Amino acid sequence: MKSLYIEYEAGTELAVYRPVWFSEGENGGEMIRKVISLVLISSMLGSQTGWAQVNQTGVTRQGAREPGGNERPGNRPSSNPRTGTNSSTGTATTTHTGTSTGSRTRSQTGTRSSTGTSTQTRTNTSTGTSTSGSGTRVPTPTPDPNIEKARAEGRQDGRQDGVREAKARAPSEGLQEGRRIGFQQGFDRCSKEEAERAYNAGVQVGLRDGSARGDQEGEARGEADGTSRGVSEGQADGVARAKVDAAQAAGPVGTRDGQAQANQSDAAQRGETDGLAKGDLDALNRANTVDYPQARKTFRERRFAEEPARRDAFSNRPRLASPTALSAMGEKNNGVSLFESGELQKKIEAFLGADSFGVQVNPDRRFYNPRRTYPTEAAMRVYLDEYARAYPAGFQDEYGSLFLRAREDGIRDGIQGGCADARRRNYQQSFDQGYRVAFNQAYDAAFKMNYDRSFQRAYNREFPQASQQSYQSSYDRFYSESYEAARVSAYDARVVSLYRSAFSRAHDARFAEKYPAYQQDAVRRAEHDEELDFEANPLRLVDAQVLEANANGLIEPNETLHAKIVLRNFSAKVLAGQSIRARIRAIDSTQAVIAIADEALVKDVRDLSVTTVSDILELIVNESAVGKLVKLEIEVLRDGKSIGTKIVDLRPQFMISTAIAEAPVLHEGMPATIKVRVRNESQSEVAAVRVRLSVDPNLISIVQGETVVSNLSPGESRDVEFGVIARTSSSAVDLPIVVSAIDGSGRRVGVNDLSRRIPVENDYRIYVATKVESLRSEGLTRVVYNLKNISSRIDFKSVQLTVRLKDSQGQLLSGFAIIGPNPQLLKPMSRGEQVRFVVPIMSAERNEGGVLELEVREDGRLVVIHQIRF
Amino acid sequence: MKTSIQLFVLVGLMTLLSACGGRIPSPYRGDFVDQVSGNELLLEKNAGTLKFATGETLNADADALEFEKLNELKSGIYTRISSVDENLMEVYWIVPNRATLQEVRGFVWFEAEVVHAELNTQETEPVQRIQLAHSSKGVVMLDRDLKEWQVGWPQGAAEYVMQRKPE
Repeated sequence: MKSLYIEYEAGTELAVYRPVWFSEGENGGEMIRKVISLVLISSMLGSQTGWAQVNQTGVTRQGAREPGGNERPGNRPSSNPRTGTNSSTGTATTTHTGTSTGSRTRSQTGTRSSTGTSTQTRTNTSTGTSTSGSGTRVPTPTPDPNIEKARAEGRQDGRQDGVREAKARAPSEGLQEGRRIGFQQGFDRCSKEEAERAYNAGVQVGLRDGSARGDQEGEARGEADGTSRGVSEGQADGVARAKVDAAQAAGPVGTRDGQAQANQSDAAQRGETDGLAKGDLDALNRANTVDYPQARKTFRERRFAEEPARRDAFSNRPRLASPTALSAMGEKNNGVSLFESGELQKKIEAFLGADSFGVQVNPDRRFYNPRRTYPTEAAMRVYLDEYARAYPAGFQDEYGSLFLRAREDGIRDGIQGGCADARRRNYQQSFDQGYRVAFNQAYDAAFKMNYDRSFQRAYNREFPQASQQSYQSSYDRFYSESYEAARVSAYDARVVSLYRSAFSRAHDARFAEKYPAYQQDAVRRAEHDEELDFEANPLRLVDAQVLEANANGLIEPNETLHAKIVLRNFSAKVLAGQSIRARIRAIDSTQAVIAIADEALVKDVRDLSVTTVSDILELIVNESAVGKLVKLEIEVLRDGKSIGTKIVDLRPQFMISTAIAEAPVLHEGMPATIKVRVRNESQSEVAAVRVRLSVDPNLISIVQGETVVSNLSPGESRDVEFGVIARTSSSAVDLPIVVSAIDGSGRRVGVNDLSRRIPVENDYRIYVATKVESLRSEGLTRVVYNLKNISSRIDFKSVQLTVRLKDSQGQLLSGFAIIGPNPQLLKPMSRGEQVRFVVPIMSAERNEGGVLELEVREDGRLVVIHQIRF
Repeated sequence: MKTSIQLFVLVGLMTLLSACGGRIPSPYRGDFVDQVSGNELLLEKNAGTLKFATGETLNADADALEFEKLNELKSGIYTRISSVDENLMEVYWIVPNRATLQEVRGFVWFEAEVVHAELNTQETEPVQRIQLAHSSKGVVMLDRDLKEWQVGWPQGAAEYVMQRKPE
């Protein structure tokens, strides 16, 4: 079984996280030592931002410890006594302070609580002084003289054995590794050279063959194509010339003959007969379609102009329903817009292969042999500890250089082997490729040159001969066709002229003769019919309107509206109100909600009266209709029969208008403002207006989405600002913006749903060029980014890139470690320059994802903060 | 014709190599001093010396900037032509601090003393001033897998305006 912990070494400004594997076969003390280190590091990292932080100084966690947190005796010099308190608690808090010297000597004062299992609480304070406490270990009064000897010998033996293992392993392992690398390098280089050589040989042969074949085939094809084209185009030319010449000769003769034939036809006689019949019919139609309706209208207007015997008015809703009822109903429709309601967040499940920690070269302990014995247990333990520590140190010190040296030798060997192997391969494919490319190019060039020359020669030979033959054979046929076409055309034109002249004369004379009598008869019939209609339908709709309820001068969405109708009773009888009904409908049903669409009058309509009925019918206009023309149809019926219809036009408007006051400019990751102008469009004061801004959270973060504007007088306008942070790398963003206003009662009195293209300007722009979803998986993710200086003109300033991993609430995530310096330091970038590099991030375990934030500063000046979800 | 093209390519390559080959352009060679700090700079064809007023001295040979040289932690005055301006030579004088070398998963980084300058390769007459940025806390980071490098330094690097000493 293998387990992982990370050795945490400090003493520099940069933290080192060295992955180390536990492996079976390790002795118990070593295993425990690693476990304790892991727990300490885990708790330490857990209390910090991110998995790893820099600038721990003066602490190296390599002291051997007993299970349960007990210090081994003799583990440290007696001048550094440890004070410890054990208790059972479940929290883990670790604090490190201290100093480091070149020899890495350390002193600690510690208080530790432990459950005795895997949970520990410990406070280590490295102060260089020691303190004592209750239940503590007391320094031995007389030092054991064997201890220093054991320490020195343990260190010496361990190191010797570690070095021995390194010397035994490094040369062979380095050589093997080098040969593998070198073989690949040599193979790549030589196979490329061989392929190029074969390709060039193919090119030479291909040029020769292609040129010869192109010459031959171009000549033959040019002769055939030139002959064919010369014959066909010569024939076409002869036909065209014959057609033109024949038309010029035959046209005048045909025209003269056609006109003479038309003069002898019956066209004038037919025109006169048809004109007389049509003149009579037009006079009768005019009287029926124009004079008859005009006479009825005149009669009706005369009746309406008569003074009514009485005027009456009543409300059809003596106790009006509370406007708030409908307002509340309207509020139900005031749900947030689709945009505000949010879109389902995309869940990208793209897992790149989870990387794992690589295998560091660690000693396999083949020569691990602590062999000395000492008279005291304390000295024995010191020896074992020192040996255990010195063995891997000696190994590491020696192994690296030996390995690299051997690897270099191996690379040289490997290159030769790889190259030899490459030269033994067959490169016919490269030859063929070169041959094909060269053959095609040479063939095309030779073919074209010979083809053109041969084609032109054949064409010039064939064209004149074919043209002359074609002209002679087609002229007579074209002459006959041209004569007949000219004759027919002239005949038709002349016949039409004679007919129209006779028709017009006869039509006008007959119309003038018949019309007066037809007109008199139409007027007499119209007045008679209208009088009968008044007797049958004495109730008439004079006018209809839709009126607002709150008298602020505006038809608002969600405001309760009623109709007002004016009726006139032309009869001498009272008409029952219950027999009279009004109806209303919206021409576009999406624009309004009709609460009462059909309603009878609550009172009778008196005889010979003009009666105004108010507060009849009920409706609200939807927010979607704001600013648009809303058409409503109001119809009045008596005994189920329609007596009149009116179309009413409304243009609803919000009480509060909102608009973007100034063209905003955003900055990625940095605060900016969007300024909104609000104006009271009504004739009433609006109290305690709250203005809200809603945008796509994937594009913009809002610092404060709502602001309160105190009372707004009629016509008053005010500007309010909203703090926002852009979350896009684009140079501009097409942003849907919803601005809404709510009055003191909670009613929405203004909404503006608009979309704007807003520029996003940063001196630097940063793009993440890789998928970052693999950060959700355990292992290493190489986040490749491109940083470009867009517009900074500051010279000579370095750039700092800081990486953070956060949750959706903006809190730093634990369980991640940035490999390398954070901030990552970059060279100065000229304007227009782009830098590509990698941020390696280690994820400790599979996780739910979060936000990767890249903050860029130019010599400390914040220039962009880029965020991307993973 | 073919010979002419080959000759043209050869001349172009030689020009490029001479520009990138780590040589200090002749207009920038000579003795300079920063009047404020008292630091002195000597630039030669293939080497440079930066003597601080504190008595410390940096010496290095000039060389073309290559990944492998940084990977071997070699001190040097590294030059290369800017990727956005072919008339601009970037100079990085890097003195690695080997004790700070760290490596994890193919990423290597170490602290270094870094001096940075930008030289105009179109200059023909001896320049009178050179501007330097200097940081003793620079960091070089290498990605051995991608063979990419990065050098930078924290904010607040010292800046020297080196004036040519009178003859």
